[in-house]
Amino acid sequence: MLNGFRIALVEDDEIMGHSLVQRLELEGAEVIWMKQVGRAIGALRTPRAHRRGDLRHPPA
Amino acid sequence: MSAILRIPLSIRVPLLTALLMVALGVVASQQVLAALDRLQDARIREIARLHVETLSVALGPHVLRDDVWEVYDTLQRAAGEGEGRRMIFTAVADEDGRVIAATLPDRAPLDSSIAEISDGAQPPANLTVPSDEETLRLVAPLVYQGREVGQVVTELDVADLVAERRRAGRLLLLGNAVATGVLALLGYFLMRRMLRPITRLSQRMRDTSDQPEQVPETEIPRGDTELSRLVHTYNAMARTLVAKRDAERRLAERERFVSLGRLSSALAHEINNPLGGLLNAADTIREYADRPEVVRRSAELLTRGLNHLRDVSRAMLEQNRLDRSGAALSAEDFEDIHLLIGPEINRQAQRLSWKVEVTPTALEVLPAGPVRQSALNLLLNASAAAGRQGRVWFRVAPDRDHLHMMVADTGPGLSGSARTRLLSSGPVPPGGGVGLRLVHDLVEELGGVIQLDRRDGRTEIAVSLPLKGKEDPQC
Repeated sequence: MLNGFRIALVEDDEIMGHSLVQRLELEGAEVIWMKQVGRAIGALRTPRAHRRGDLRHPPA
Repeated sequence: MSAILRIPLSIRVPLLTALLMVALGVVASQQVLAALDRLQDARIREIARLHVETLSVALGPHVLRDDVWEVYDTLQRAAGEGEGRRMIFTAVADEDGRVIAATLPDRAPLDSSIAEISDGAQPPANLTVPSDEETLRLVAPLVYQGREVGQVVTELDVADLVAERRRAGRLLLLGNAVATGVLALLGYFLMRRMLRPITRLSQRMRDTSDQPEQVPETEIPRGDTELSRLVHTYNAMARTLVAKRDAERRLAERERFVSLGRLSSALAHEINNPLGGLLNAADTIREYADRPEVVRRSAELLTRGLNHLRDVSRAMLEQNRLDRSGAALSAEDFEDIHLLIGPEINRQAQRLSWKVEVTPTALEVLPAGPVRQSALNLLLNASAAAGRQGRVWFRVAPDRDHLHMMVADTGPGLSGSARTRLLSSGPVPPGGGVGLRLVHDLVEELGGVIQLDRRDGRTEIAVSLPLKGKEDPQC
């Protein structure tokens, strides 16, 4: 279980993003979903953050 | 001269042949008539010589003795017996040129000057048969025993010779005219026959200028003549041209798939990502099957994802099928293009400005296939030119009688060869794709116009398609 985790999710695809957010929240994590990496940088600065996403998209 | 040059070769050469035949006939007739003249002149000279010689022998002694009565008597006998009564009139003069006797004393009285009647008379050696008169006057010295004792003036009847010459001339002219006519006709038809392959060839080239047709084997002249070689060369050219057309058509057909191929990696991504999401949702349903609200939300997600996949695959299918469908253009076609180009724009992190302002009815006269293909090719080209994080614009707006489509990008502008492919019908320079040429051909087929503009670092390609159908592609 992911209780207590804060996760920054970077994903530009709607369906993939929604499914991941839904599942991660069900598993107990706190998810911040951003479409682009640049906007996720702030979230990544938080020490316990994990990231998962489509790394083919470089910073805007 | 220009009027002659306008006559086709297939008529001109036979006509020339016929004219040459006529000229030949005229020259031949002239030659024969001249020969006849010479023959008649020689004959009359011989007659005159004999006549004068006979008179000289008969009259010589009497003239020498100045025996007028004997001279007169001899003349009368000569006039009565002359061959075929050719002699009409004869006068004899003495050494001093005084007439001593004449067959017709009224015309040449005794003692009158012989010069009065010898005027206009010819010497026997120069005699020629006149063309219109029936008599001939000759003057000759009267020679007896090697000495000139007087003069003789004689009029000879040459009516038979003149008539003979006329008859011969008429016959000759008639015969020559018939022969020349036959030869001219023969030459005309022979030449026409010989030139028939050229006539057929030029007609074939005229009739089938845009789709050359080969000359069938049966129509090729036999043997290894210039004509058969010409026809073989033409056939080879026609084959090459047809093959080239086929190749161009195949290339254009392939280009439809090429543009989809250029999109394929982006489109695969477009399918793959939602698929991953759908698998996630399915897994969530399995994992939380006892929580209805989770199942419902996952099912909604599944529906949305599947709808999206259906749209993408439908747009791809449409793009593949559109050449054959012949369907009318509609606003949905532009939405399809938006869907197809979207992933490619995202992949390159570009910004696409999309503005399509159409009413459904305005577009119906245009076929969907060529317009979609043109728009997609121009967008692909613009996206490739704009590069990473570039900008691409797409505008569609109809006015009263035209559909205006504009594609712009922030790329470096079209290269020379790309410009040639897009704007002209000339031969495609080697290298580079045929996408822009296909746009050119499609727009031309629709009677449209392409304009290229570059300003403020933007390349703008504007396409105007007439909304009145293809009745008058010139305007």
